[in-house]
Amino acid sequence: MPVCVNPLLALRVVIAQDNFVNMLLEWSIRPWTVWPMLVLLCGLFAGCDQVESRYVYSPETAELMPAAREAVQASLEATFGTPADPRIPFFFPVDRGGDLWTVQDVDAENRSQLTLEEKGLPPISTPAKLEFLFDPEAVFEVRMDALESGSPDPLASLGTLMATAFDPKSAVLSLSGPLPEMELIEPGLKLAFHPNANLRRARELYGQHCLHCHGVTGDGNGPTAAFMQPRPRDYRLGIFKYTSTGPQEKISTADLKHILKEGIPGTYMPSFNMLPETQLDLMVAYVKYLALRGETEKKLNVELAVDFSQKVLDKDLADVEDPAEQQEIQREFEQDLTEFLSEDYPEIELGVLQDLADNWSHADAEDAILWPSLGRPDPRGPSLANPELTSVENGRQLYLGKDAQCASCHGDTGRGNGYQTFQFQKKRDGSLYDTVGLHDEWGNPLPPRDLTTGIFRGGSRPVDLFRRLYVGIKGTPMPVFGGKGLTDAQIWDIVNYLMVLSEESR
Amino acid sequence: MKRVWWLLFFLIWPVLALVISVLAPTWNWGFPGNGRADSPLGEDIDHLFYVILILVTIVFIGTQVGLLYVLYSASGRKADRPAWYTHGNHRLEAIWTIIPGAILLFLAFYQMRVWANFRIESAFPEAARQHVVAEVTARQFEWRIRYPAPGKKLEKTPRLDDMYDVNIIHVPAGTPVTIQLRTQDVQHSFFLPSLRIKQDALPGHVIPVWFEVSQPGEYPLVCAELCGWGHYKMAGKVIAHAPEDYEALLQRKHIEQMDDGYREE
Repeated sequence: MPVCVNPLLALRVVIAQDNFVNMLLEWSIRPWTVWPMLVLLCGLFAGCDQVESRYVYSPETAELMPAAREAVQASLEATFGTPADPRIPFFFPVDRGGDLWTVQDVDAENRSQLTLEEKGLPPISTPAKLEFLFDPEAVFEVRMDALESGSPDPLASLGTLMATAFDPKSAVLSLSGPLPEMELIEPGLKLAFHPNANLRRARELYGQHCLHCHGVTGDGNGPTAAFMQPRPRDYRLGIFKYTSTGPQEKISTADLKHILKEGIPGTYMPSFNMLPETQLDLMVAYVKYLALRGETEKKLNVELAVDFSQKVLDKDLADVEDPAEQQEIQREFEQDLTEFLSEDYPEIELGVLQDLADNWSHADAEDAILWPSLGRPDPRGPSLANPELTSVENGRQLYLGKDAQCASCHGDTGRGNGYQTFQFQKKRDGSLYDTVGLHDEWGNPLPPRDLTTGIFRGGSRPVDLFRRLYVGIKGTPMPVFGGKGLTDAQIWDIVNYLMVLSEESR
Repeated sequence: MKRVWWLLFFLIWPVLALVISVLAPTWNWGFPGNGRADSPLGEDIDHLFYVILILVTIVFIGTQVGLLYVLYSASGRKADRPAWYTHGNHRLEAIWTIIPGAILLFLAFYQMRVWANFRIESAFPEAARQHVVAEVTARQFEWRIRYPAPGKKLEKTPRLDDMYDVNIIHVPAGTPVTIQLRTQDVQHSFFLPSLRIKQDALPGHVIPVWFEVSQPGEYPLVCAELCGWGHYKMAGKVIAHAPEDYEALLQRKHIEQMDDGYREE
């Protein structure tokens, strides 16, 4: 089927090719029979456009100097692949699937063969994609050594290497080409077959259920996103609002799955609890993959934008009149960039990836989850923080008071109409937002929650409300109250007040 | 000879229709599942369906036989006669007006009890009216369910100790229950095919719907009103539990809902 964007063009192609249509057209010469037929044919062939899906880069990447931008894009594509071929480094906490085996021996004579540990392994379906799980820092050293001595990247040939055959009896794996001579390939090295198999399967599910709002890149800008208020989440900042993890932690895998299962009441995020668990796990892996890809892009941009964005160059050139001097400045600037990219950038890239892997891994650790140190007191019983008052009364005082300042955004009666919503708020860079009221990290207007509706997006259990107050809502002006600002007993009083407020306001 | 072929040609279609209709249940073209409703009200509705099906079948066979007779007798006449006009037959007209009229009148009265029982709140079974188990809110594109805490009545607005579900409605089996149906956005339709329950959800209305699931098990819930691009996603299920399991489930949900996250060491 030819790709046809223009239905009329398509129609012409069909008419030229198909005698049957010619016959029909000759046979029915009257306009009132021809035109309905034309319309019908247009309808049949319209919209068979094939679109190749591509990741879009963030506006910040576009502001970098061309060479810096290309470096970021190359890093992202090498690390995370393309929508058609998604991949993620093995040290990221994403369940990317595939089988894992261990190298037992490398044949010095025949470098197109490997012996795997454990004989009698189940047969590996070949040909299979292969990935050697080298220590990322060792790979970095090897690459930098090669770069310094001016020799080509010794790992380059590994990218296209495939497993062509496997003999389960002798555990010998045949490869599509010879292994490069290097110390990294040694007994004990882990080997992944069909790496990222889960991501490829997850991509189909993401395309079916998530993409139309959250977009191919996870930028919250899919085809249906424009109709939504609030906007779908842009994963690329690596921030998710409702987490059970501590204030400085990323969202955990369990939290993401919880959101997929329960949806977010009060927003367009639906529940996917009718899908099988295995599919939900795959979708969670893909969301994490997109979030990690986006956050990597963001962090690399931050590293490069300080010195090498178009803005910095424009500033340098702003006061210079003499064209020769301008050229000199520009030449130096570009030279600095080239040097930076070859000498410092690879290390920065590795550091960014490793930091991200650590942060996201820690979110799944048990000590990342926030639990209250006290049980919730009876709302009408004495407050643990101030025994002279009941818990609800003390909660009300805190709500209206100066320590928590809840009312400044959520309003005295909890309707989400505090005075802050009538003021212009400052952006990170100190300038004011165009629209009045609060905004989130993504730059979207964000009205504070009306606490009287009984809908709590992050969950309505007491523990959910406790966490919203303790941890705050990440990426929004809702601050972290836990730790320093309020004691756990005070937070419980506010939670009790909110629960009573949401019930009695109606 | 040509005459016979034409007769056979017109005969074959009604016969085919009848044969297919008779065989349809064995090909699973009939009602979902084993063809029997999973609720007492559903069985009443099926009964009405079959009564009407039998009536329609008799009428269908009668009219087809009549048509064939006309074809047969008229095709024997020579075509060289001019057409003639007639003022008809008063007696025949009276017969074919009174008989269908009587049948329709019969159906109107015969279905009244089931209809009232299904749709009119004052005619609901007393047990169903007493037992409002949940509020079901349709929205694009899911069902949100709110249960009252164990031992409490469902209030019109959410309470502190209400419990929630999405797309899955837990009910006790073997007893009539009522849900309050509403919608947050556009029109939806609450459809339980195997229980023969279908009720539109209308913006601004809270519509009570009662049903009784005969046996514990899972029963599909779908949206039967094209409600937007994701209409097909509005699938859920009703899970019916034995009464004691149902009570235990409510208790479990209550503990989960009131969880304050505090774990004593």
